[in-house]
Amino acid sequence: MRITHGMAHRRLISDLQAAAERVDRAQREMSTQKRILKPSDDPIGAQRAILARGELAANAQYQTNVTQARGFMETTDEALDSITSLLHRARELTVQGGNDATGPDARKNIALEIDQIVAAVKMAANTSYGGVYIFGGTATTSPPYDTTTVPAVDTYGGDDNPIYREVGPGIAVAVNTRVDTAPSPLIGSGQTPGDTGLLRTLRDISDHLKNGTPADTEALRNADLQALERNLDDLSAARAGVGATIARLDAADARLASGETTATQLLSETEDVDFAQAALTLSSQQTIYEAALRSGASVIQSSLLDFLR
Amino acid sequence: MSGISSFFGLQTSLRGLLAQQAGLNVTAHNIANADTEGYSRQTAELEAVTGLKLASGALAGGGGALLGGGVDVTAYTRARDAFADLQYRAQSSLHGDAETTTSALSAVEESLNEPGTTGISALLQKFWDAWQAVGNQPEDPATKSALAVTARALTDGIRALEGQLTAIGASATSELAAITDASGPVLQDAQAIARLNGEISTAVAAGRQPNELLDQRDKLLDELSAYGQVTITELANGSVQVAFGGVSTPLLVDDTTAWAPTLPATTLFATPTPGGKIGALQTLTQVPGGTIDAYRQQLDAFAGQLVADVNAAHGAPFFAPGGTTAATIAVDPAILAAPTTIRTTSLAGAPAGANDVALGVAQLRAGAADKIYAGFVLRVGNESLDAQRRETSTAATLASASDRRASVSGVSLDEEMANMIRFQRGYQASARTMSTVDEMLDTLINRTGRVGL
Repeated sequence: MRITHGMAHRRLISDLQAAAERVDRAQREMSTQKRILKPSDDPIGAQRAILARGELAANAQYQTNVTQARGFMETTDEALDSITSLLHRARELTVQGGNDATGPDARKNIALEIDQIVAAVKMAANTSYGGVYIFGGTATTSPPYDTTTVPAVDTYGGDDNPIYREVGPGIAVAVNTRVDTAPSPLIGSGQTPGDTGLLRTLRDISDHLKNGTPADTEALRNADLQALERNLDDLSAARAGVGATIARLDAADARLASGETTATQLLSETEDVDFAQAALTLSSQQTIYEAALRSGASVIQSSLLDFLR
Repeated sequence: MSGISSFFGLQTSLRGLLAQQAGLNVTAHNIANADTEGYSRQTAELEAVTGLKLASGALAGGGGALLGGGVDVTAYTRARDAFADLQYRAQSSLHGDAETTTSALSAVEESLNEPGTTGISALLQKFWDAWQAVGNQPEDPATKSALAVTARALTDGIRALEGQLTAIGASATSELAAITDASGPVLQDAQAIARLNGEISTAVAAGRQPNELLDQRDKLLDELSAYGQVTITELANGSVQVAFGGVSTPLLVDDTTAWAPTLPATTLFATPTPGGKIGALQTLTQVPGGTIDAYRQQLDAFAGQLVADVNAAHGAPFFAPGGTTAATIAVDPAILAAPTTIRTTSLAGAPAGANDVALGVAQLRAGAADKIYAGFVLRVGNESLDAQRRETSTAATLASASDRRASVSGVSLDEEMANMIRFQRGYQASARTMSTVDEMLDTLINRTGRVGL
């Protein structure tokens, strides 16, 4: 092939341009640490990166959900714990009140303390977490028990519906503990017929202490104590349920964390550059570019003109 | 040796001088045009002159002879390979097509901003996250207003992308119109070629070789071939007939432009013509069926799916029910005006803490709409990659076709230098012959008859 000067010139420029483009590409990959800068760099990879990013975002949101649900459950556990302590105190008082050695005045004083325990239980049942009344079911914006009206009203004001939090795709966990659901309500609505909740038991004890007839004393010693024991059993069952849910949340959290690792790794493998390789590519492309410049400069300078005299 | 003039040698030397001078002139012309685009190098064709006929008996043996009388320039030819031209123009059409497609699809890719944290996919993730946040705290009005704002950012993003696609389509349409209208390059080139056809046929009729005019015409045909496929028929009078872009009416016959200068592109090219910028722009802009149109339809499908799914799960208009395309998608005005009206539950009495609807919407994440969008990005990426590959390969073939042509037609300075020395030496030698003949005549004229003086 006959080589002309214009041709050599054009070739040199297009080769330099191509080399400069490769240096630029290598440089951008180095500085962004991304292999895919636009979809056409790797269409399949770009799609995979978009889906992996979606998975990561969902995962992060589920982890937030788990954290919130766990806070909800821990608050529930604390409230149930304080109610349990109150019931233990109530049992001591009931045993004391059922003792024949306790006189009528002393019984009335004990009854007053039982009434205080009722108020304290209702306060504990009105516990809120982040502005949400945890025992109100889905009626989360108003306290489930009335603590201000005189004479006291013990009726449950919530709807006791389950509240769900999503902790994974399609995995919903009920986070609230139901307190007024038949057949054996945990706290209940006080002395309504058929209610066996602990408010009913405490109110009965208070009444029996105040009345003070032998039949009342007998009830204190037998039926009331048995009812209290049953309420305590229900409480510990509820707390066991809370513990089990927390364990389930922990498991979900661990699964989410490992899912996050996997998705991050997939995303990184898809769109991140291998640093060592990128650095090597950049430096070799630079070398090639400089070599092309040097050889080009020497080739286009010389012609027969330089040697004719 | 009778019958040869004493001055015959002078004449022969003079012809030599003139021929070498002509050669040197052509060399100067070549060097001057070494960098002129479209220039083909020229050569002065020399031919030995049979000058003097010697009658029978002129030679010792009694025979006659023809005596060489020097040299003459018979033609100035240009070095040109018609086949290389054909190859170059075919590649130029393909390259024009690939280049235009690549640049439009790159613009589409840039408007996508994918993969990354600013594209539609990121906005979509934020949208689903906002629904989850509402699900976590359905009683909190702040989560609902955050959702309304996030949703509006998403619809704004989709509409902006649709707007950018429309703008890319519109700019391609106007580029196509600009190429084919009366002041556009196609008709301008056609008119210039027609004018050159006229001048060339006149020169050819007068027996002249119009090298520079031919070069100019070839250059214009090269330019034309980037816009569409060019088919050239050489006519006997030296002019060319040009068929362009697969249209049955030739663009120009002889020295007349056959196309009406006001004909719109859509009438000229009823179906997309393959090759050239015009073909690429048509494939991009055609409605329906063009590339940009197909992208917009896919974006519409995404918007429609999103609106349908979210509204169905929400159980009431969350997105305005009328806006099911990418251009019209919008958050329902009632929701924007009062974000607290976002439905979170389907339970009777709508208890504040119930979140079944919010969770239902949030579960649409990674569903049909997300997949349509990811597929859309994949498609844009694939088609852009394909266009880029075509551009790279056609650029390489075009460069090698151009090299093949330059190899024949290009000016090599080294070669011209060598020629220059050759003609210079030739000139010097002819001049020396002339002075030798002169000295001979001097001897004859001044020394004759002076023996013994």
